[in-house]
Amino acid sequence: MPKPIFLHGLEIKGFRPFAHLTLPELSRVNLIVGKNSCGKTSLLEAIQLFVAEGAVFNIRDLLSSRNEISAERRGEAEAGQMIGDNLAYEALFFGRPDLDLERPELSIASLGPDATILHVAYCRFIEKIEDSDGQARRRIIIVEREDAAEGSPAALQVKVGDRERLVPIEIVDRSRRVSRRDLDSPFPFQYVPADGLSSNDIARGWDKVTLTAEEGIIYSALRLVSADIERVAFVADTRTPYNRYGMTKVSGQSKPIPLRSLGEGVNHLLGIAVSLIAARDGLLLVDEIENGLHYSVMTRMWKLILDQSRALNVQVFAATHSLDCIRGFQAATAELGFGDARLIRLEGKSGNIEGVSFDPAELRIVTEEDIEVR
Amino acid sequence: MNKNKSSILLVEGPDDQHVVWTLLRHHKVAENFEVRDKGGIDQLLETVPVQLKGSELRRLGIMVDADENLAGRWQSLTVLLGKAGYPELPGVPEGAGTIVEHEGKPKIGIWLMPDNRTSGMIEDFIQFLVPAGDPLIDHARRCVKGIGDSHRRFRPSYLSKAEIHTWLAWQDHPGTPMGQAITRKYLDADCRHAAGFIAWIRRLFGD
Repeated sequence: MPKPIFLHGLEIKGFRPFAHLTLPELSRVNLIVGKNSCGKTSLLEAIQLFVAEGAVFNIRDLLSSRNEISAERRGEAEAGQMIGDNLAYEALFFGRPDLDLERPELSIASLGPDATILHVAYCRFIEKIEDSDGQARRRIIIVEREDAAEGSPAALQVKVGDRERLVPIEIVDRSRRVSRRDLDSPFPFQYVPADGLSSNDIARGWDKVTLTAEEGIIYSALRLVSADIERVAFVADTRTPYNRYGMTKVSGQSKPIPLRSLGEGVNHLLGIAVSLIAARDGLLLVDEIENGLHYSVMTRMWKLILDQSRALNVQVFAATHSLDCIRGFQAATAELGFGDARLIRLEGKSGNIEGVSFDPAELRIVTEEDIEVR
Repeated sequence: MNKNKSSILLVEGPDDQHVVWTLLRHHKVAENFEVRDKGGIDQLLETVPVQLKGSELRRLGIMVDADENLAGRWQSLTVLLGKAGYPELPGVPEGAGTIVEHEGKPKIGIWLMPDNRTSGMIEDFIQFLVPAGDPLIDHARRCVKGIGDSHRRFRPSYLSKAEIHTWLAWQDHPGTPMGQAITRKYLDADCRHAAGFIAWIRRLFGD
């Protein structure tokens, strides 16, 4: 069993839109708001990169999920020098530095108890075979910028605490596309993107909870949007049997109907519910949590998430644009007397993004005074 | 009705709100801000740091009674605003009303009733507005002060309240509230003290 993870605070330097962002206090449930391009999704990505300790699959996924394919490196591909994808590594770093000229670094650190720091630096290296007492030894030398031999391979130097490793970008480029939505992730976090989980991902999540005590959580979530749902099953698509999709029995209807026909919100909520359970003792990250959900559902959805975050020991980070979602969050924290929650607004121009945080007592005032927090 | 989210004057109670409203109308001040009654000093002070974190706030006025201890009230505001990212409040309130401006942050104005100089409350400010030479105000003060300790039911710090309401009881319409007393011209809304307050409002909310 991996050790439960909980982030008490976070400090991010040089990653994506963050020159230097410090969030000194985090809670069990954190709702992130802010205008477009203020880095809500990037913050969720930073948390993933940190928890995954800069794993190859995570780096590749951060880049390929945003279509960060390098235009310059297309040339290499055409020349037959490239194997795999041409990921644009500069997109990981603040200000998209020119990698031919610069050696950018980023760091993501947890604060408070068990503080750790993840460093990622872009570099070039050469490999030397040396003779050592008659034995051939391979030696990796990081080359400094000035004497960087033209065409020496690039790598990411990844350091977690005092453990250091060199990841040639060729390895990242060629790595298997692993979905961040992978419910079998070896890392203790689950990520639900803005457009929800795929049917197959949900099906695999469902497989893990069906006939268990946690199944009830899923039904509670589904009934928030459709009170008539009696049962759910995942069935194989007859044309492509490795694809599965959800069917549901709705009271008053004799035949099962596709889950999707109940609306986009059902799918998103189901993705959130299976991910919440799969995130036990770890982190749940949800982008645009309000997607497809009617405002009247928000308070009940948050009550369910708050309750389960405690029961399953999950720390939640969710991003939203929606005022109704924020109001629902406030109402749910108030009704449950849930103090370990906060709203964090990311604000400022690129390079100077800061976090402004509101605890539940302050959120009560926000609602009473109709203060704009987004 | 949607509340004004960018420009707000926080006041302690409904009397304060009405007095401000009538003064604004009298001086034809553009009502581009909301005068919000917070129902007490504690609620008002609790709101301030949260208001300052609002993403649309541009100007925040804080109008509170100095009460019995002007220095103490100023000190607590200094601590409150210091924590909210305004560390540079002057050591004492400015006589013309304090205005604090910080690059990239909402503008803050503070007015301690009655005049940023003396302890007291809105009723002391209203006493300043009693027309000069008014024969009844001295009479009202003498009457109130003449009540023996054994018969006086209000606490000593409410003396000015008792005085002004006694005086108001003797006007054309006995028992007129303070705000309306301005409209009915029992009070002089053009006197130095009222003009000073309005000048502060204009400096804070004028564009």
